[in-house]
Amino acid sequence: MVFLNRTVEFVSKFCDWIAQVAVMAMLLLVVGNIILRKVWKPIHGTYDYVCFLGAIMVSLAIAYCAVRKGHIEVELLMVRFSDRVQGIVGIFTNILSLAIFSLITWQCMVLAGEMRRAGEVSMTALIPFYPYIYVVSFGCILLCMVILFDLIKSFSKAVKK
Amino acid sequence: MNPGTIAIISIVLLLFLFLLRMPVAYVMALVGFLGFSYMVSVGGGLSLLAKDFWVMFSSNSLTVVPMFVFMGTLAFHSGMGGRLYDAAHKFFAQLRGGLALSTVMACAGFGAMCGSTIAGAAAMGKVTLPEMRRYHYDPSLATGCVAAAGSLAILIPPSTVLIIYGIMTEQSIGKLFAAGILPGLLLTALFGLVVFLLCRFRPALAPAGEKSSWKERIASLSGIIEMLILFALVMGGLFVGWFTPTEAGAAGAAGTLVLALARRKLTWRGLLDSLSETTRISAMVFLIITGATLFGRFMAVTRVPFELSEWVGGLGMSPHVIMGFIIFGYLIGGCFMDSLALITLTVPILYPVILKLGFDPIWFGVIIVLVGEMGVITPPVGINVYVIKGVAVDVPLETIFKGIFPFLGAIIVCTILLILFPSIALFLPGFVTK
Repeated sequence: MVFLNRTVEFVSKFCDWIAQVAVMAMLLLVVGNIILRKVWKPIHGTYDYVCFLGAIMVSLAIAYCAVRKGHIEVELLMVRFSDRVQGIVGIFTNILSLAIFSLITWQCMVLAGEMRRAGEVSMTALIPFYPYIYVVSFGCILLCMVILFDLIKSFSKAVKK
Repeated sequence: MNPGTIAIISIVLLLFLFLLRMPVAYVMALVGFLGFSYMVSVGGGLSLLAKDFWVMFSSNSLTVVPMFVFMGTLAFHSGMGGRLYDAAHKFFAQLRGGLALSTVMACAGFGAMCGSTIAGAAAMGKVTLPEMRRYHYDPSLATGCVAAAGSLAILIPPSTVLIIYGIMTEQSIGKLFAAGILPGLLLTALFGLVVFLLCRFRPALAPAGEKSSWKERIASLSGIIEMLILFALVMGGLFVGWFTPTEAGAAGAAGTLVLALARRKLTWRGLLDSLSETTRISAMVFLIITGATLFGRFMAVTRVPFELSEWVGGLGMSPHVIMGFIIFGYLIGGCFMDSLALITLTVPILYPVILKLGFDPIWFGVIIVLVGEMGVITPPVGINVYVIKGVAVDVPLETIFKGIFPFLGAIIVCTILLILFPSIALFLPGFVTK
């Protein structure tokens, strides 16, 4: 179990590195476009590439953000309860979280399939949308894995004597 | 069940799940999905999930977030806050309360490069608190002043909260940034006034420091010059229409990176940490906006925000009185919830009310930021206070909160001045071309 947890955390961290590369790529692309449009001509499709880089960045960063407890929570009430109560409540909230992100993962896959079949492409660079929607779906799967391990941790907290 | 009842039940469920420490973004997505599915159809709710996640994650307007966040984290890791403080310190240290005044000035300057209140408080807290301690400043004044002034980062552009508000309400981010400048300067002056008055009536709070020579003062100006260059690049580009908001953020981040590398102030570790914090903060912001969008769509199908605006409009009360209630509500809400979460949750509901009452949406954006500033320093959930507590470990939380109250008063005065004179916020946006 510990090995699996570490594997999920490592994969999340690795994906976060790719997200960091996407941030740098976005920065270079936008600045390059600003300079080139002044001195020569704009980079064709910059708008589309920036959108796709944004999608890659956020999709691959949400899971590691959850590992680092980066998503905003209201801690006011729960910190006042014992570990056991926190564990029991954690089971309930993690199941709900897992349910919603499983649905999002599934629906993103459905949407990607529909986009692939319809041959939908971006406006200027004419790049297909569907691979990037699969990336969103992958990011959500990874987040589901992180939530699943949080759920297991909540279980052990709840049953601990 | 009528839509109003469903909306009320959903809001109660939402608050209940918040209290159970379920992440705010997840809760808004879940309740938005459940509510939309109940009101329209399960199929409609499911397809909305994928559509909204894809549309928001690949939204061009949201790409402004990582660019400005990266600019702020680079400024943080390259020690720009420290150089600003050094400059302010050289000019004001010899005055009674001069170090606190320098802290306020440096926080305002750092706010011109960074849009996150947490980064503002953390960066300036690390630099200013040891110095104020060295001069035996009262811990309450020292910690209160840096926690409050750190919040200037979300008012003085670039500002994460203004970006989020702009995206949620489809207002021009350039205009919102411009609207934050004068109120930001006003609040800086009010914070300075608070320090001055506190030291005037209780001189023991803050002894005077050493006087610097003019040579030292002039040498320290480079810290201010780099801030002015970056601010001019970002805001100038937005004002004259050279840049879109994303381009302004990218130009600001690139400018910060170049300056930091040129001065050899950014290590490889610092760059990696800046990128790592950028992805963490951006992921958090993207997810919370996506959750709020889903929740907003559900609210829209219940028609509650529009009926609420009709109801409020029909009350016959002065819009300013209603605005007073709204601000009071935010002040109370900010005590229990993170400001960002509170804003993303309430803007979809309150925005139609604001328009119906005839208030300018750009002006309301600045008001939202001010109430957000109150939220980050008010007990028990004032995030800046915990950031400062992390730096000044031995200072009790109560001491920090005690020190904050005079500065909270300054934010309230600033808000009242903005309500009485909206042109403080609305004068500069008139010059923004897009």
